[in-house]
Amino acid sequence: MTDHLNWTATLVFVFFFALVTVLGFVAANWKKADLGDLREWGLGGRRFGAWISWFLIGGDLYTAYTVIAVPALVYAVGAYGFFAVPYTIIIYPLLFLVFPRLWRVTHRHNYMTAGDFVLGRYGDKWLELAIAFTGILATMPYIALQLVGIEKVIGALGFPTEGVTAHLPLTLAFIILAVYTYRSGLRAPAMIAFVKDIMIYIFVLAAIIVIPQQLGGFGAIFDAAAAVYAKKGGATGLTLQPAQIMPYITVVLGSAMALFLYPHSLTGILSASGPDAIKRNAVALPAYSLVLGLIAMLGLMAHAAGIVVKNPQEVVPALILKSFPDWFVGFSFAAIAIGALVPAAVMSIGAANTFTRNIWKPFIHPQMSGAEETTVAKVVSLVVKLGALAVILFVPTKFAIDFQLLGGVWMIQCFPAIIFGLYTRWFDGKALLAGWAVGMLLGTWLAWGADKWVPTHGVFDWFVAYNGLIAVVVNIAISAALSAVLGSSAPDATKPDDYEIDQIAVRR
Amino acid sequence: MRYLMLFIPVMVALSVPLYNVIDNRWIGIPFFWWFQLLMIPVSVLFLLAAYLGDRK
Repeated sequence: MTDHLNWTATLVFVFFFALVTVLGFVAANWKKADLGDLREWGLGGRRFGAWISWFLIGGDLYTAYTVIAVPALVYAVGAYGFFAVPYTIIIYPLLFLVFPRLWRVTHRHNYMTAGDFVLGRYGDKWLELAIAFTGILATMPYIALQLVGIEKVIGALGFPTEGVTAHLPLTLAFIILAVYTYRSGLRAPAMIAFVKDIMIYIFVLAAIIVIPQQLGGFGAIFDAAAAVYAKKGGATGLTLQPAQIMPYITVVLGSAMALFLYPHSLTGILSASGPDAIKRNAVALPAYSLVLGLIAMLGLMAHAAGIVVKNPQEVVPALILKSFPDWFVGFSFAAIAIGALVPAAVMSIGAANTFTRNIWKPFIHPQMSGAEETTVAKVVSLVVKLGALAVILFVPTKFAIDFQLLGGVWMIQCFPAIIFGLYTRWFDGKALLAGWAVGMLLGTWLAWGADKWVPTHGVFDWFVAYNGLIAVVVNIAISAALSAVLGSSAPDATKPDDYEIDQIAVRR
Repeated sequence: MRYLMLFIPVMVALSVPLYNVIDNRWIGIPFFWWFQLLMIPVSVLFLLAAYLGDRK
């Protein structure tokens, strides 16, 4: 099975993987506290300062799958794949303006999840359930896709990609991850994120200096890519075709609205030590966006390097193999694989917190003690990861990809309840629930093509827009209309000051 | 009010027809690509201004 194995690269790869495994276990003793308390296991005690948060949130949002999928899309279609860049320009003003409010109210009331907040704000446990269900549903395929990132680099190291042993390295890697996440909670990915992010920065810096030199500069790279797209035809090219402009704008906007609603994003943000740490991160996190933009251009460099792959997702590993000496191949692949571990861990923790607090506790076992809460969350984090592994082992990858894209359409349907809720209690819980339900159904229906997922739809033959955005506009209209009719009389556990005034952090 | 200026980079990023062109190139990179990359540090300046304004 090891005939084609690149030994040097594999040894470097295994070294770094072993290093972060040790860190994952050591992390249990970092900022020592009682890990039997869900706030400690699942949110790191909300004590991560600006620096730790920068590494953790950066490592959490810019996933390994991004490193594989964004250049893959650029490789396949060109300009349209670059939407990830304007998208990351929009998210940070949003983070800066909106999420300190969420941090304050969740801290004041000991909320841990979006579902907790929605229950407190609207007093409606069915809306809480809807928000929690959406978060978990959208997260599952996202975790599975992190595995695709690991799988692609392991395959490129020369491990067999077919037969009985094909999934062995992947399975092993994921079981190790599951065990140290179970033990150390959010501290594990927070510590590993330091290694991951530094490795990714080194990899990108090397790639952006070395590869253009080998290929005769950026001019030559873009010219070569232009020639490939001209030959390929269709909706490809170095700029957007007129028909692609509205889809580009609406996908950018819709993706940005959805991003911070995911449980793993919220877990990263709420584990910060305060509003100031969040604002500092809104200023500093765009450094990762720059890296992402440069990574995206690897898709063009691959054309100049003459790389032809059947599956675009193999383009980054193939380019790395072609451009770098073996030891740095091992380093770069390790960066990508470790890059998958951080978000996979945070996602499973976010999903576990959500399931425990907003599904298990209110609907199955209301009298749960703090220790029981943590036990449930730890077990759920294992189950979620095994589920993701099963998806990759037994279901075609395309299913996970379509499912994840649908996840964005679903996640954005929580926008009115959560984000509007941070500013006003004018909306009624039941009205938001109705809006959410219609948005979910409409979004799914729009995305359901004859034989595959379709991302966009025409709006009255006027322009073409992202399905998630169309659905959330309808969602908002219904929520507003019903709220106006019903009024909003349910109790609200929060006060206006809870959102505005920085509480002096007092450790309980 | 100073928060309103944070909408400037957002609006520019969404004004796609504005930058959907090849020329002018910078070190060989078409406008569409380098302009969006440049927007990242520019947006940071706006965020930084908002942050420093907050601290005062």
